Amino acid sequence: MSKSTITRREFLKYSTAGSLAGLGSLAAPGILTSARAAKPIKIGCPMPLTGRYSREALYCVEGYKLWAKHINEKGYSYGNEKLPHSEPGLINGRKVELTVLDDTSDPTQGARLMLHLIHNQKVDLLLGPYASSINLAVRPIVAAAKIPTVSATASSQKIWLGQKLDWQVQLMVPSRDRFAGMEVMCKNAGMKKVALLHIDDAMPIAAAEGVRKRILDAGLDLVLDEAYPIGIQDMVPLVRKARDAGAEVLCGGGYSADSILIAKAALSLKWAPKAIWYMSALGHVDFNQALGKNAAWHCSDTEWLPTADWPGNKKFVDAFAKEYNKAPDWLAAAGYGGCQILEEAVKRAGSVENRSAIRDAMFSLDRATVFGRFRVNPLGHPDSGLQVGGTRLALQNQIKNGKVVPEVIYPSKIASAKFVHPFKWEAM
Amino acid sequence: MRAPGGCTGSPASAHHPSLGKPGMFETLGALGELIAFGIILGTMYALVAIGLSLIFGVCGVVNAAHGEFVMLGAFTTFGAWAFLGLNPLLALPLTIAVLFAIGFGLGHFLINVVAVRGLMPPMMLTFGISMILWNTAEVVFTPTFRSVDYLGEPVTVGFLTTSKIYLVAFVLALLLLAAFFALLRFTAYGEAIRATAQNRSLAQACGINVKQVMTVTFSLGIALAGACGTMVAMVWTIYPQMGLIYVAKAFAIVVIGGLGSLPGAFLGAYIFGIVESVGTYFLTTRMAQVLPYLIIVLILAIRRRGLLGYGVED
Repeated sequence: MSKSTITRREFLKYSTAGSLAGLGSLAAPGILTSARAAKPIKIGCPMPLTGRYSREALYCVEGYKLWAKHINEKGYSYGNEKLPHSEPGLINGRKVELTVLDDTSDPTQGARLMLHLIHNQKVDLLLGPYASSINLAVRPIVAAAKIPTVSATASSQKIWLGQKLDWQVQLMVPSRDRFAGMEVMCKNAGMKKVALLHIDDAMPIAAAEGVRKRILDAGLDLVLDEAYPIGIQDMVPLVRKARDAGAEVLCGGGYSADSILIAKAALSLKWAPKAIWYMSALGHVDFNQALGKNAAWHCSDTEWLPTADWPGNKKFVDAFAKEYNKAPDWLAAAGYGGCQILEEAVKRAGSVENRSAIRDAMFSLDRATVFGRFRVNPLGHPDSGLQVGGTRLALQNQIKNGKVVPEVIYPSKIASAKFVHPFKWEAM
Repeated sequence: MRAPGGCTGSPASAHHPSLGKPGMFETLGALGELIAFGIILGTMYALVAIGLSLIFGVCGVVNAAHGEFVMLGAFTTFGAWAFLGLNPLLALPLTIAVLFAIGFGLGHFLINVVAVRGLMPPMMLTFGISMILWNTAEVVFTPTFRSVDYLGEPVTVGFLTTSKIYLVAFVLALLLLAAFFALLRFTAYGEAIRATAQNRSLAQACGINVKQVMTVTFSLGIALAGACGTMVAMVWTIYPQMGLIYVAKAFAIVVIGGLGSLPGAFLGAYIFGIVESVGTYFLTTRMAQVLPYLIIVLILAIRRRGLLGYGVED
């Protein structure tokens, strides 16, 4: 018969082991938590670091990087100081690790890299690539991966219209609203005939759709409406066609290079229509540098200004200039602003692991970033995720103290100058 | 509203647009102007295409990096203008010299080594050079769009209204091409180049230093591409990825004219320039981009060697 009693030595041995095990189990979550805290939050993004979109995209990447730097050093970005979890890192002291891969301005490569970021790099959050065409390519991948994604620089409404996207939101005002106020101001100025020339790419096509409708609704005549392929250098025959069609307003373009080429072509033809309006020109330094004094009196569209009174914008402009030794353009502000949406959504959700909570916060935000107002159609809406809160501005390069400077001419309540017309070449 | 210069309601332009449906004279006028403009374009394209054709004809190398040399020429001119304050017209000889030197180095150390190994190895090599130049340029020059702001104001010569710089570029390109053809036709070195193009082995047997001729020919082709880059920097915008546009056009022109034929490349360049210019105006820009390639199909269907070509197998 065996003894069921326990000796004092055995009791001490087992009770010590048990106590250590108990202490261990109590301490384990703490140890694991601190291990998790050290693990960075991975944010991935394919971006056109090379290729035809790289000029614009690099500014946006600089905006992303500046935001990551602010988060890792201070725990908040400018304008988000009052959010919870303001210790260094995005949340619970976890720093941000930004992975930006070069999609070479190719939608196929963008989709491939998006899959790589999701499945191989195991990113926690995503930023959409630059350019609407690449965002269209990655849209189904993001939807399937169910990762909260902010598309900071995709303006085509086609990405969201009727798609019921549950994980991807738009920061920019949709392209259909580009050429803000053009038809109103031109009509008020007595101009009637409009020529629309635009690049054959996703964003400009979406922009042309919007302005085409507004031009016709305003009762103006669309005397020429033509898309041209990417890579055209010589615009003289096309601009001449607009002139010979009797256009009083020449509008269109796409990216900054097109605007320069259209302007040069009109100048070489000695043609001064009553107004020249671009999708994108005056927000980039390239336009003024390429045309000198002849950059005056052209109009274009933007949705951000360095002087805009959005929370944190002034500090962002100063910080960007200090970091990169140059002034930010609107794409840099969009990059920084897009990250601010992710920042607030994560902090409100309280965890990076709870993706649904981040998504819900992202879709319900109604706030201002350094880039401007952000509000999207809610979940369940046919166009969920489409930006509906922002407004676009019209700029005109005017001469002030002998210098060519962009002035806001629309909307009238925030305009800094009046629309000057008819257009003329300043240095001819 | 205040008008610029305080002239509210004044005609927007001295050259007022023709309103309403154009008549036959207006159409003919437009056609004449567009053909003239196409000739200007064609002369600029000829600089690239003739270099490409010459390199193929003499060295047997399909230079996939030819567009990148246009880009390097453009940035050399821009750099000389922006940083050294050099007049763009004076930057042209500098650009030609720089590109000739680059071509000489590449030709001597790389192209000549692989040129004897058939068509594919040198093509792959130049494709690699293209990748290196393109990516390096993106890092060094950044993707900013640049241009030389020089003589952009318009001028009317006869029935043609265009920027002064278009006319200057046209005259410069014509002079360069004339000098180049004179070099080939009237100098001993030109004779050596022509002999090498016709029969490399026989040229060598006659005492011609074929390797040196190939190096110099490669350098000349690159220098012509660089000169075209100078014109592009003055007329349009330049950026690191621009080379692809020009190499694609140059290949099309060379195929139209006939591989290895310099007069063919010249003719092909004018066909390309005129079709592009007239097609954009009377059809659409998309169609104008397709038309030269339809012409290639048509020409190759009728005459496999191109308009004036002697064919690869010869």
